[in-house]
Amino acid sequence: MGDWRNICKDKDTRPEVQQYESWKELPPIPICFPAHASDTGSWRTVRPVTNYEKCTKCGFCYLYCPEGTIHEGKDGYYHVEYDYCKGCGVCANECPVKCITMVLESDAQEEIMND
Amino acid sequence: MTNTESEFEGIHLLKGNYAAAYAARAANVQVVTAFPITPQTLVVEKISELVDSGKMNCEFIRMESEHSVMTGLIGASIAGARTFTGTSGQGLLYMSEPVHWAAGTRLPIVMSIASRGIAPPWNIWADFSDVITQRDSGWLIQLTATHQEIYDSILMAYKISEDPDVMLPSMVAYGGFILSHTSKPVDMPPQAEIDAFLPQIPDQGWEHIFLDAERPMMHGALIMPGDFYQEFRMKIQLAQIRAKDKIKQVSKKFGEKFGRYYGNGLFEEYNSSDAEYIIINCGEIAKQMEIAVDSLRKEGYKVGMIRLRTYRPFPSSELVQAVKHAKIVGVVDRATAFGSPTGGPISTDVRAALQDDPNTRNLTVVPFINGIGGRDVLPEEQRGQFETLFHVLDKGTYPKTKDLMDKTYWTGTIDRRDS
Amino acid sequence: MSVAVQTKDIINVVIHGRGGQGAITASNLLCECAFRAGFKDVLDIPKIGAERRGAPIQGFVRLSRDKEIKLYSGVRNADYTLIFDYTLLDIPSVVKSLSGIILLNAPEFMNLDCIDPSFEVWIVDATGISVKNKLMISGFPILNTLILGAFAKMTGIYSLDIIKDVYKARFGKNWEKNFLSAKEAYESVKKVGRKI
Repeated sequence: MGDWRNICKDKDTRPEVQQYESWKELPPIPICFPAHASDTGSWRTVRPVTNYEKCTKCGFCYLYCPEGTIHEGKDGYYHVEYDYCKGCGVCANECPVKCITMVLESDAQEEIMND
Repeated sequence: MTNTESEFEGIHLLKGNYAAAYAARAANVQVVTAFPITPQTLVVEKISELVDSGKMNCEFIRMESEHSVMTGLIGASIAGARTFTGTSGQGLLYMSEPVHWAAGTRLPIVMSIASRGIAPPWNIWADFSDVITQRDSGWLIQLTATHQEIYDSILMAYKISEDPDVMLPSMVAYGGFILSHTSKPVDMPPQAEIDAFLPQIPDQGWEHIFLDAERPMMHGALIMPGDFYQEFRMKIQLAQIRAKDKIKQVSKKFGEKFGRYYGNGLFEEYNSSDAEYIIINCGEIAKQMEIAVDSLRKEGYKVGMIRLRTYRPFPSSELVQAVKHAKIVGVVDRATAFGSPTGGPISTDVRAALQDDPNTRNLTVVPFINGIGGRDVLPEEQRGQFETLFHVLDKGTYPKTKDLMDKTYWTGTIDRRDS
Repeated sequence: MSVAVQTKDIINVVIHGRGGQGAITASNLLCECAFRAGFKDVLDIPKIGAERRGAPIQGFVRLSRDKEIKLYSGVRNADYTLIFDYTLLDIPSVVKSLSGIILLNAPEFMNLDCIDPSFEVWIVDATGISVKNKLMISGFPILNTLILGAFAKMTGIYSLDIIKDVYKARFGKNWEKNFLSAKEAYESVKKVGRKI
């Protein structure tokens, strides 16, 4: 990690404090992108998968995600950042058109391999 | 003299509270949150008047409690604003949780404290015990002695707090009523000179924390014991240590620019450079103690006084240098630290600091506590504190007076049976 | 005696009043007047606590020509004592603490037996002037601005012109009413002949 001052100025990066070697290089306070506090993606046993054919782009999943891991993409659809999604299922529960399903992580991995 | 064009420039008779409000105005603060509490109320009352009459350009927000006052300022400061408020006694205690949060977030908030005694029994008069309760919060703490110093210290506080190497909030404390409600001439420099003295407020927010939709960030999340929690706390202590040099520099620059010096910024020495008997004191009673020093000097006693201005960071090594030639040291507290080795916060700190150096390790430090809850401190009582030092040094014992409890003198204690 | 006080480095004043009579404001205005008259440092110490209408209260003032005022504790040996209300002389602690030259707001026929004959006493009927000039707030006669006029005459510390300036700066459109009453008090205050 480089100097936190430069990293802070950039729109797309934040000093990820876990990646510093010594406290001396740390910024004065721990800051990060929303949801980047720690490696929560590794906690997941089930993951939300969106059926974009049914999705109405209403944005409920984005609003309800307690960790802020869902972002609006350039296509107007909402995408999950799996590095930080911990698989809580709140988005699937709140989706008004039920286009999000929680898929077992092992099945999802298999699917990704097959793709 | 008072006929200057502006009510904000030149010499004016000001109550201590108004000096604080006028200093906040001069510092171009952008957000003030307020909740009234005696004896501070006049500070935010004056600011609201100034804002209402268009004489001050800032966002003035009335809050429902002191807790909200500080959380409001934290929000404003995170957004990059220069912020100010005032409080006292119980209000500061109620504010305590976000007070720690402000320091932990490293926000350069400045707050004036019209210090008052802590209840029960109910008390609203001068006593630094309220500030002492927040001494370990990470805030820089200045104890001021005159109306002019309140004004000047608030200006200096912004320059110190907003320094990138410091980035810690500041409290500027002064005795309730004894300074807050009394009036004295205060010299206010021209606005252009103050603007040139103070740092620019960055438009993009502070370096380490900002509110910017284009640069979203999260702060204040949980850190597990194995991650950098301890290290972030170390950084606060490091900033406190660095602040000592900044305070010295800023105080010097202020003196060069405006012609008013407050010792080295950390403390102010009065006839102590060749003194054998030195008393460390703080606040306006330290100013008053100069009278006792003068009269004892006239009689040939080599006495001196050091007025502590900066309580946090505590100027340990600097104090060691300032007292190492003394034969005995007294420390006067206008605050209580119940259960501490001496009962007084500053005397406990001074003993710890002097312990750290072989030159001062063997110095006797006699603790005094006085003026609690606004009790009048008389010049002859202050003279008596020096006389106690003479006795302890000559006889090697603590004189048994009505004021002595354990090994601390509670000067001015009422005990009619003894008299 | 007055001349001796005037040459002192620091002049100490004690003000006794009752809540609502403006004694606290008086201590502040007195400082303002002295400051404009060239005193280098001034300090007013309102002894604030439980102010309620009618409760006895105190204010202290220190005026210094050249030196910085370092003393913040209350005034004990005053050079001047101002008493806003003669009924305060019914309070033993007030009588006991009397010191310096005394300025008393009382009707002229007032019996002064309770004040030790060694004291120099000046009397002004501030209440009478205030009522006559309808200088009232919520039915309460204002006394402070008048007594400062009498104090000016008694001590010569500041002039009527300075009072005018201070009141103009302080009271906006009401300055004239206050000033004219102060002038009347200035002209009518009298040193009382006392048998020793």
